[in-house]
Amino acid sequence: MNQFDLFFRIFIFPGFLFLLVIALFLHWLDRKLIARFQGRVGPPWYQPLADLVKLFAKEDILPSGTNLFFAALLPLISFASVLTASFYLPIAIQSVPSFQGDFIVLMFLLSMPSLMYFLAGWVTRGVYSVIGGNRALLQYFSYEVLFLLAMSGTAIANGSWSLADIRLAQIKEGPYIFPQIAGFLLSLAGLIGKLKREPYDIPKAKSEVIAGALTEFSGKKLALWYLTIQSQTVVGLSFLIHCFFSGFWQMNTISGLFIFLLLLIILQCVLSAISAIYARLRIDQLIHLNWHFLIPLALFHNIFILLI
Amino acid sequence: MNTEKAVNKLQDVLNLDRSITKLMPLNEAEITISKQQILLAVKTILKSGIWHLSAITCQQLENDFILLYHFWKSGGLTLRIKLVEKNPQIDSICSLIPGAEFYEREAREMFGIEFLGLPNPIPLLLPDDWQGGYPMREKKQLSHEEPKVKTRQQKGKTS
Amino acid sequence: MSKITVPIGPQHPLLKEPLSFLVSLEGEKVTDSTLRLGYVHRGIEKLAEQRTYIQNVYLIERICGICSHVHSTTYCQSVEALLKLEVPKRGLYIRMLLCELERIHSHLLWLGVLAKNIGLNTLFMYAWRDREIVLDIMEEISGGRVSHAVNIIGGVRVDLNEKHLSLLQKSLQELTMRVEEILRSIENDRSFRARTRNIGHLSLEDIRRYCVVGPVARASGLDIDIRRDAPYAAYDELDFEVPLMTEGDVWARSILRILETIQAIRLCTQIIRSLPDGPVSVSARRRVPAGEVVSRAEAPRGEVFYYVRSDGSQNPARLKVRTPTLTTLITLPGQLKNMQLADVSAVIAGVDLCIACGDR
Repeated sequence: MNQFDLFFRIFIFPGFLFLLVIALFLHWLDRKLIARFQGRVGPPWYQPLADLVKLFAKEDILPSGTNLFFAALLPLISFASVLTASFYLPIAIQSVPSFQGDFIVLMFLLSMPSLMYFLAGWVTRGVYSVIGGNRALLQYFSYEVLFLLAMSGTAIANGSWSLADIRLAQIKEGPYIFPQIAGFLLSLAGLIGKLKREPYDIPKAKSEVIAGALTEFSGKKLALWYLTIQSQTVVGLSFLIHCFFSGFWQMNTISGLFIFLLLLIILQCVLSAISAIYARLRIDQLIHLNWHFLIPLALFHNIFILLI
Repeated sequence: MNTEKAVNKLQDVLNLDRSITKLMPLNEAEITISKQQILLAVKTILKSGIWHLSAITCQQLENDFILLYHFWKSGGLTLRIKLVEKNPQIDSICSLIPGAEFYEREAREMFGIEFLGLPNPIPLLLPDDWQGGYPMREKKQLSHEEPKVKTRQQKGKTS
Repeated sequence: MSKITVPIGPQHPLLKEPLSFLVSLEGEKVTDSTLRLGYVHRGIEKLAEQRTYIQNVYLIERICGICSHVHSTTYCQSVEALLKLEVPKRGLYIRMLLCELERIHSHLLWLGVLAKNIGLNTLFMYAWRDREIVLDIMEEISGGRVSHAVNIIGGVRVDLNEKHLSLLQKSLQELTMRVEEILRSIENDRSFRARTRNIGHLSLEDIRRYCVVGPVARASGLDIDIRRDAPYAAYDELDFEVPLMTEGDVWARSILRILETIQAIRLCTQIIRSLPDGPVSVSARRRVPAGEVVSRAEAPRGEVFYYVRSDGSQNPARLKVRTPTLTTLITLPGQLKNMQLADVSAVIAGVDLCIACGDR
């Protein structure tokens, strides 16, 4: 592909700009839906963009004793890894050729922000940041494993770790959502844990640790963290859609893009509904739930897939 | 009623004169005792089934301090104790009723009454570096004095 | 794991009013905690000695925002007892109506605060939306949403006309439906139970030793309610139940407060149905004869206690206020032993602190 094509794919579509627009749109949808569930009106459509612009204009203060180099580096690495992850995902067009093992690469890139979040808590050295970071690490160890196990069902089913093969298998046999509905639900639970949304938002529980690991961040760094979290939602949901719903649309077509966006919106609605209904779980209840119920279920599910 | 029973028991145990019990409005009986009898009085009250202490009021009457212990169980019972200004000391009842701690701490910081045996004798409502004396005691002159807490400039802190 | 001290307050999203609560943690478990009050201490008792009895009615109302009417009711009751005044029945009924409306308001506000602290934001929004119904009623009656200034020495200063009564009837019906719906939805909600069950347990023995009052005491099995046991302001003419639970944890306190809200709505409907005719106040002298009086009332948080001594002049010689929050504050460090940091928010919210009341 030529230079212009590469530039277009990385920065405009399906790269940076497209990801940004979809991330802000899904965030607005989330806030609007939760507001409506709670009997409120909700923010107007440009609110997430306005928040982002305002954050870029704010002053950037950090406590004394913070390692300024790392405090600036961590949000950059998080955002960069999420952006890189988005290139590997075929969103209506295949930007980067798929290869064996890109499923694992994608998993790894998507898990980088959680690790960076924990490190951010340590770097800023406040009481609330450290506690939030510790909780985030505990949650990371539990829910990344769940996400990986549950999603691996789709890779195991056709014996290949390549995203393109997963898609081809679904075009031949039908989408994986139907035989693997349990895997889909478990990976949705894992995604909620990864994204630190309610009811798993104990690392950033406002009534206990103010804002968790990000308590001391402000200004441009906080804007980058905000973008990371929203983009992680988009990429995570796209990953889910790719692995479970691929048979529904054709690549390189407008209708394919349209169906993909529709599925994204539906899944975001499901996530918002779950956030609005449940109370926040404590960290020990979270870990208990994960290791006593969800991971064994995921293991059984995978063994079941292997045997069939 | 419980309070009548308790009043009678108190009068018997402490050998009090029947005439010093009086009734206050809204169903409250008041008994005057001396400060040495406080622990025995509280023990008797607890034994007769009244365990709820509403408050401990302290006030200054001319030169003496009056402590009022307000108990309640479907009727009120108040113990009235007089302390002289030179040496306002009395035994703390926290060993019998742990809930009295906050009330005694407040009386201590506001009036300067020493409660012997108080478990946690730090100020309850006033700041830790308060230097203005005992706020609730009557002052002879009208006070437009400076508050006795140092401001930030006086403490010499920057920023 | 290492020991950390987490400062909860004076400014913290968990607290509505400033309170310094230093919690020592080992990992996620609380080992120790210290409490420090006094951030909102305004010296009300001293100020009251320098104001006349009538000025004090307005001073006393400002001790607390949520239980302001009960404070002024108790104060006016005590001064009326010293003056040997007989407040007309209609005035007493209007006083009781506002007391009960305030109780509903306080409990709905508290429910929202608890829900927010445990992460159930939806319940917070619903409870505060329903609270708007009560605030609108109170604004119609008295002109103020939270601070009413309805009591005067000798009665009340507002009267209810037909418009008020019909508005009250409609709103109370709607409120009953909504509060019962809230009760149904959280009684069996698993995530709510998971965050509040067996948290902050207080046994009956602890309640007695610390002389705790109010919903916290009733949730642990202590049957004490000033409205029933020592009726004031015509409560002996009304029919109501006092809910009682025995579990003693935050869950029991939540359910108990919602049941009390339903009882309060029932009391309000009785009041507006059987409102007697007549004047709403009598005139009171400015100089109060010498004497002392003790009066109690049931605030939303428990027993509020007033002692007033008069020496025959226009100003009170001593005014002592004891608010129910002080009794529950003593129990906080004990409740938090061996709890997790995440439970601190549930416990502090479950106890329903009103620090402005506690500090005076």
